[in-house]
Amino acid sequence: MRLRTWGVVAVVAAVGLTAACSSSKRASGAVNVPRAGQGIGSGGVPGAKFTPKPCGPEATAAAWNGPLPGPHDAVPAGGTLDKIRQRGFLIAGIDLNTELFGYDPKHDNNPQGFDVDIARAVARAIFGSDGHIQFRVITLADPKTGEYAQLHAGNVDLAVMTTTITCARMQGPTPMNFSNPYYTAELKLLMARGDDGQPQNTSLAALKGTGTKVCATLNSTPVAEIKKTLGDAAAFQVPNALDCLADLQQAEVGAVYTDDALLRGMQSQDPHVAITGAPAGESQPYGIVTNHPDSGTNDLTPFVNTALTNLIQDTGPTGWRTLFANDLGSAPTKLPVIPDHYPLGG
Amino acid sequence: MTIAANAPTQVVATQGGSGAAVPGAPGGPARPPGTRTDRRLVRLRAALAAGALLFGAAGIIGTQIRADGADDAKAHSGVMIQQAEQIYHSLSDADATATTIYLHVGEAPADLLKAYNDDLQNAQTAILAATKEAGDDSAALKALNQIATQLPQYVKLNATAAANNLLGYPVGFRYLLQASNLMQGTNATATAPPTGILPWAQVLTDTEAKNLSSAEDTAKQFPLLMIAVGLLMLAALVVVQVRETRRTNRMFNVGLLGATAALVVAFAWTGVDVAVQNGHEDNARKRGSDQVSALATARILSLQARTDEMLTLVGRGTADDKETDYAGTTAANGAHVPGTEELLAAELRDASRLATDTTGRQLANTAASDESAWHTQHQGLRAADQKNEYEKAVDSALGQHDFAASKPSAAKSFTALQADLDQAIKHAETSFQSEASAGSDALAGLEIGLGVLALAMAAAVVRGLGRRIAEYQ
Repeated sequence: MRLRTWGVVAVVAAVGLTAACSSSKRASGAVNVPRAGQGIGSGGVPGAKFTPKPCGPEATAAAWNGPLPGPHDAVPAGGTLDKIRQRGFLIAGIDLNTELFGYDPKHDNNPQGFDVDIARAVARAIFGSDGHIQFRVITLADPKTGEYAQLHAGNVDLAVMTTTITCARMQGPTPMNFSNPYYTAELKLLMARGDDGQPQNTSLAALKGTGTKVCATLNSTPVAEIKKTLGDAAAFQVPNALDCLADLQQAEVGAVYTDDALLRGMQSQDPHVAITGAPAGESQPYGIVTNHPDSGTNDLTPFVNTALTNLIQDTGPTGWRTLFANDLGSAPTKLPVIPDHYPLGG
Repeated sequence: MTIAANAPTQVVATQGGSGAAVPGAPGGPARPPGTRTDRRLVRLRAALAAGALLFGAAGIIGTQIRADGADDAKAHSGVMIQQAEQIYHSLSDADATATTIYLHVGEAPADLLKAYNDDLQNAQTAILAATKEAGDDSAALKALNQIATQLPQYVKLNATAAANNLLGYPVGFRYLLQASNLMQGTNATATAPPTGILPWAQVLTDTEAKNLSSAEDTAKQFPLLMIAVGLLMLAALVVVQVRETRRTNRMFNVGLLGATAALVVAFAWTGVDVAVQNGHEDNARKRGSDQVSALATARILSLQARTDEMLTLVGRGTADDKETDYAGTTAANGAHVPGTEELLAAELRDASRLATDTTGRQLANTAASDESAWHTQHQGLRAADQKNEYEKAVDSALGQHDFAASKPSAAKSFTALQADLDQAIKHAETSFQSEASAGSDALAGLEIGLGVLALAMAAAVVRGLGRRIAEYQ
């Protein structure tokens, strides 16, 4: 059902709503608080202080006009896709420190994970066969050059790395193009398992008054929520989400509050911790980021959106559901949702 | 004063027996009260004898101070600074080695594990030795305490990192990074004390360098009191002799002349020894303190650069700030903050400049050329990593596969640089030790000599004036 809604939205949006986001840039005022499991440092966007405007499904909804071109069909000359075709492979920016999503367990440059498989699926959609992809490990936030500097510099075509789609990121001083969500993360709590070995049912609010320190990535949305719910002293901020697992193991903190995608990865590295059964916080839709063109045509985002729609509909061995089950260890209970509005992120 | 009181009587006794016919034993038969000149001469004799002994005492004290300084430079401060540098070097090397081990897939190579364990043991041994030597030096003890109490935490973090790495869990890298950050710490600022381990090792090294420098200053302290007393003494002897010559029409008073000669000998001896010692202390400072410290700093910087190289590779994009540490940054306005590598190259140039002999300079120059080769390899491996040739970058960093053994690699150049630096430091330290020993040996015998000369001066004065006094009796 949801799938149908998804497709419809995509098609509707294709009819020229793409301008919605590009026309609503640059205001000034509030401090930028980024969203995402992968929070970014305070200097993630150098000098950027602005209030993002609310944005809805239209902001990511560009879709390919008609059926996707096959590997030998013509693509618009001079576009991003044309460039990739001529090069012979797609350059995908990934993260290698997120267990289950992007990681290299044997340090042998053989990346694995859900993000990696989604990037491979996009390359397959472009070239019709496997092997036309080069991975580059990129940094979400470089304190000196800002968010996704490699992407903006054109060193990679797209980035698949548990990045939450936010209005701020789409409207910022160095705007990004996002695809529709390929995964919907939720804010969850990770704690030690109970005495019975089962996951606890504790919620963030239930930790109030216990003096428990809760870990999250520096300057990320979860930090703001922890502060709001438990007070400033309860928030324990670290440079990288995975530091939270190390700190939980060393009893520096009592819980970790971040995207379930990241928590799944932590859970798989330590049998003694588990995501609690408490209801999730705000949804964090993850999108594929493509380079926002300074000039010329970005036809990669529409292509990726349509390819993603196909991938999600595909129930075969290379479809979204299978990739999800293989990489994340359990079959999906729901498909990625296009929200009524994206997190503001500002 | 007891000597001064006894000496004259004895001298007078022997003299009276052989020279004049009058027996002059103490407590002898009562004689007519002396003339004015007689009493004046007795007082003068006592004053000159006392002056001679005072001169001897001042000389001995001055020499003692310098000898203590020289011993301190050779022993206490010298030992402390060596231990401090041993701690600093072992721990930096442990960190570079731990990050290198992490980059290996699976079980760690035995030689690296041994190097890591040896580093930790050497550091522990040096901490114990330094604590024992520190005595009541509270600044040194505080730094040693900080290092010793944080070290177990560092070892624990590394062990957890290694265990996770064996299982292929990325959280291991976070432990590795926490360990390395604890080790590298942050240096003290005007308002905040240092954090971490190595910055405290830096504090220890700085403290001891300061102590060494003040010991060296003490060793070179000019014996002012001795000179002052000696000059007064010389003036007094000259005046008395001139007046006696006029009064008696004799050309010389043998006793007073002998005293003057003893004084001049004492001056000359002290002057020569002090000059020789100053020369050695200056050389010790030049070769020892200055060149050893430039080389030791270079060795620490090379290990930090190696740690940066490794962490950037292991971090796979999450530790790129370590490459920034290595390479430095240039702001939009052109302001350049030098990276570890630049500082290292500069330090090696200094070491070459400060070398005092050809061997020392050659060793420093070899180190500089290996450093430059390493930097080239480093840039090559960074470029490979950027081009998605991660394995190639790792192979160069570890010196394996296509980069094994005889072929140029970052690992090979780095290892060569370490060997160069070890050799250069050993060479410079040998120069330092021999100069410092020669410095403290230069004063050997001077104290006793000054004592003997002072007694001889006193005796000569007493004898010389004793004759004149006897003439009145």
